[in-house]
Amino acid sequence: MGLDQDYSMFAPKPPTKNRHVFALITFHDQSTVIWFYPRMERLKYWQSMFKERYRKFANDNIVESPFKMFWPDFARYIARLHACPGNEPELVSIYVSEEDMIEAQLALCTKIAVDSPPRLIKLFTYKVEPPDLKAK
Amino acid sequence: MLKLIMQNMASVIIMPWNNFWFKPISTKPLGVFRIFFGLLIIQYALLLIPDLFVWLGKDGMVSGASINIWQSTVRLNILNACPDNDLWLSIVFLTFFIAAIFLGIGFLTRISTIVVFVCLLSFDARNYLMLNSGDTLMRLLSLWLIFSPAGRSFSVDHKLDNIKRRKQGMSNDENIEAEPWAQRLMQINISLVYAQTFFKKIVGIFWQNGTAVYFSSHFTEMQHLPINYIFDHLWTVQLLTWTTLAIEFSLAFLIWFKPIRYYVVALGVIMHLIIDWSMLIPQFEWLMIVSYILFIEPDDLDRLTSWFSQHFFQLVKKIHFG
Repeated sequence: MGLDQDYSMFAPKPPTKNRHVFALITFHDQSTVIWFYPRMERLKYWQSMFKERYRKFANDNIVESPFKMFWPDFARYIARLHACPGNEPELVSIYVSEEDMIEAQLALCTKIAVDSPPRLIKLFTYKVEPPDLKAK
Repeated sequence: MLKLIMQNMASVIIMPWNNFWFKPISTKPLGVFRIFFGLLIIQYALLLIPDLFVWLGKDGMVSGASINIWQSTVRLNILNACPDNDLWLSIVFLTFFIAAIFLGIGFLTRISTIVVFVCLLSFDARNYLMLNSGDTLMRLLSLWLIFSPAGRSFSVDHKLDNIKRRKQGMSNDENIEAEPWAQRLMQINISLVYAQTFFKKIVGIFWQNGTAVYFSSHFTEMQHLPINYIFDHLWTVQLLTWTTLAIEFSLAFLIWFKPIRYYVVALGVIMHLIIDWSMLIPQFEWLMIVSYILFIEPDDLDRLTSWFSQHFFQLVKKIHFG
């Protein structure tokens, strides 16, 4: 009935990693293209207001393993975005780049800005089939 | 003796209980809340429109079939009852948008609220992965609003009702009172939001050591307008973290005590405005601020609106006549 509710933003702990999703698309002729998922900090304010659900979808949900059953759907969506008659996408690999935030006391007390190196994690590779590219 | 105990029980427990839920109160605060809530629902729709088919369409990021398999419980979703195409989604969404406008102006209020609730529930069920806390709370508040007399003040329904009364030779009905149990459910729901966040946060190590606000303010995807100094010093970050917990506790429990209610509400408004300024959370903060209208006493609301209208007209006069 829709009575369920849960309000756990930043609880019990706020996010300690910055994560960004992108995909590598390999076409039939073996050429590749990188597709960057919308990043809020790169958008103008009014644009980010409209695109905030992208952050929710990717950062909070799709990259987490409980939602891995949606990875093929997500890959098919990316493939459809890159549909190119005569040179269709064959593989879609979804990656997440994540970097830890510097520990708070260290960052605020010592003022030493030490960027932690980002880790590149391959979530999933999907082999695109011709029916995937057709709008249903 | 037994009679005395029963009388005492009645005066201490049963009467206050009945008064709380059923003693009629003015519907004006509810009417004002309905207007702002309607505006937020319209904003929800406008924010969703550009990517409607990405989130809810048949060729969207996740398919309806996958969502239906993933969800362990059956959820009411009218999109499942419609043919799986974007034309039907557009029709449902247009109906929702019109209902949101009707809700805001208070026209066919109860029916509009039912349509809004069913559509919100269906959109939530169609793509759980895009949901945020604001969506969840909107859905719940629209459910309670169905059972409330939200259309009896500041509404087209009320105007039409008065026209009907005048035709029948009766005077206008301006001070409408009704049982407040649905409004109480909304108030309790708001308190529960804060209670849950408070109790979930208080066990977290970063909330205990006072650095939680540092992490939330350094989450790049949610950064909005900068607040220099405050997020860059340990003592300010700790003060903000612990103040957040204290305010959330107050909004969960102390808001029920009338003498301090408006101080608690003022703190809540300040907290949400700071969050709205510094973080990209499009609707939740404003939804919480609007929900405080439900806690305003009708007499205080009258004073507030007359003060506002008086000063507003003075300002208009000044601007207009120099």
